[in-house]
Amino acid sequence: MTIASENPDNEIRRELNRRLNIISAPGYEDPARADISGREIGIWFIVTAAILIGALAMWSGGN
Amino acid sequence: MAAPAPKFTGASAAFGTLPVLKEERELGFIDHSWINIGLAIATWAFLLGGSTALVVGARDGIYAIIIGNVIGVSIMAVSVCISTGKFGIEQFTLMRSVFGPTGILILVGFFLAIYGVGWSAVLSIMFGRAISGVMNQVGGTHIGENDLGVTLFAILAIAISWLLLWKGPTAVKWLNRFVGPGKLILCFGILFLIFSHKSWSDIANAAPLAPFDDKRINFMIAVEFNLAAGFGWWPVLGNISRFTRTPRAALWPNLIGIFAAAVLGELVGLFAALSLGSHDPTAWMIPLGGAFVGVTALLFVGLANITAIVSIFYGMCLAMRQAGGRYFEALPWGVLTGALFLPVIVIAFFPGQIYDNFFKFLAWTALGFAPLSGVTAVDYLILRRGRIKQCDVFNDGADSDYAFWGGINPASFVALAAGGAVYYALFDPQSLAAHGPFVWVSASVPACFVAAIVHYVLTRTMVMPARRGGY
Repeated sequence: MTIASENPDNEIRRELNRRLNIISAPGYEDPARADISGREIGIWFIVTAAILIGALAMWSGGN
Repeated sequence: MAAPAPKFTGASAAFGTLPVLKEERELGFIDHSWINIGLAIATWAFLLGGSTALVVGARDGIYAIIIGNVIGVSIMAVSVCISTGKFGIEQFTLMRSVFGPTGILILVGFFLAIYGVGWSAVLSIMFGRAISGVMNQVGGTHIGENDLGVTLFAILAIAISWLLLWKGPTAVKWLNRFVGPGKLILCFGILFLIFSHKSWSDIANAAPLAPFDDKRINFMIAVEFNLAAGFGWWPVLGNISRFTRTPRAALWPNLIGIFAAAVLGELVGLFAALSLGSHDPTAWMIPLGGAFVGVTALLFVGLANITAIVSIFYGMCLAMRQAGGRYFEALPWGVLTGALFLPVIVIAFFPGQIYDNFFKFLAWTALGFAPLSGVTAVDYLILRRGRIKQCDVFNDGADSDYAFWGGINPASFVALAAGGAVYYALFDPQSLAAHGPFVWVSASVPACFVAAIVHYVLTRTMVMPARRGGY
């Protein structure tokens, strides 16, 4: 049984609808559903770029 | 007021694909980091480190491992973990917004099947070689590394994995309580044994096992292997991060867990391979630890591989069943999982060709996962700005925003093909022949960026004007 079942009233579809109703309710709050900020993604790439540049610098310094 | 939760009678694996609610999000920052550490420090990390040792020595290998993994993980994590963390929806269901419901079926049925079958074959052959090593040591047999005995033990691993997957996936959770910490002990144990036998200068001066003539190409091939390792987490991590409690907990543990832990595991593999002159982890344990420690380590490697095979196949079968919709719903779980194990059994009859060419399989997977990471990152973060209609992701009908054209988004597939073509033009995964600017830019990175750009341009010029895709 899957969500895509030809029977529209299967157990999973009912549970899916229940969950979608909960999530879309105006008062529903879930911190995980907040948008990640552009600043956070920027910091992510700055940190990973720093690791990358550090490794490249150390590698090229030894060659 | 919300309706009370129903009591499930079906116990269907498909329930695991529904959006998670706040109270079901169990992973904070630390928990997610530990899970990722357990995933990254595995026997495949030893194989990757051993493959790196084929082309570079210790010093270049350390930097190649760091450079490849940090690039791969940084792009892969933003491409899947942010979206699945936010919506809490199973990764391949959520990806219908990028590829369409039929498109994701093609992707899962073709690409993910190759990935799952390939990795399971490698791990089961590794199990076969580990147990053959134990038999040779304890039972006095003389099973060669590519003998039929290895194949038979590999098939035994497949049979055990299938039984676990069919009858009791919860047994794997129980096993993992021992296997997880055991992998860390094995890692540090190997490091201790290596450095009790050899000095750092011995390891640093050890020659790579099978390098090409050009030193620059050797280094970039080593980077490429590790890029493949980083991008290769694409089908796995989204289904873990969807249980995280905050966006921060979904993203950063990939750096602490996957990147840092994978680097540690691969460095152990690199040093061991260079010290012992073999890229095969099953050939290290007895020379390093002697009969008792070596046999114990090999038995543990075998056990760890069983849990890894079950983990890979569980995610793959779940994705396939969900993506397959009504086509696969009539298939019992045991039959579906058994059918997917059949090609693994066939491949197990060619241990030398598969296991010893593991690095080629790795490069082939990068040809797919690097463009996939680029397409999914640009689709979610730039084109959609983090907005997805959850109801439509679960809607197979033509009225869904994500129906595209006949259930397929041609823009995303053209982008994948363009990225794959760029990869192949720069680096042939089969012969490892490098072309053009590969030595400066690798193959995975340009493949990822080209796929992202093509997807962006086609979506802006073709999909959005046609009012498809809900952009």
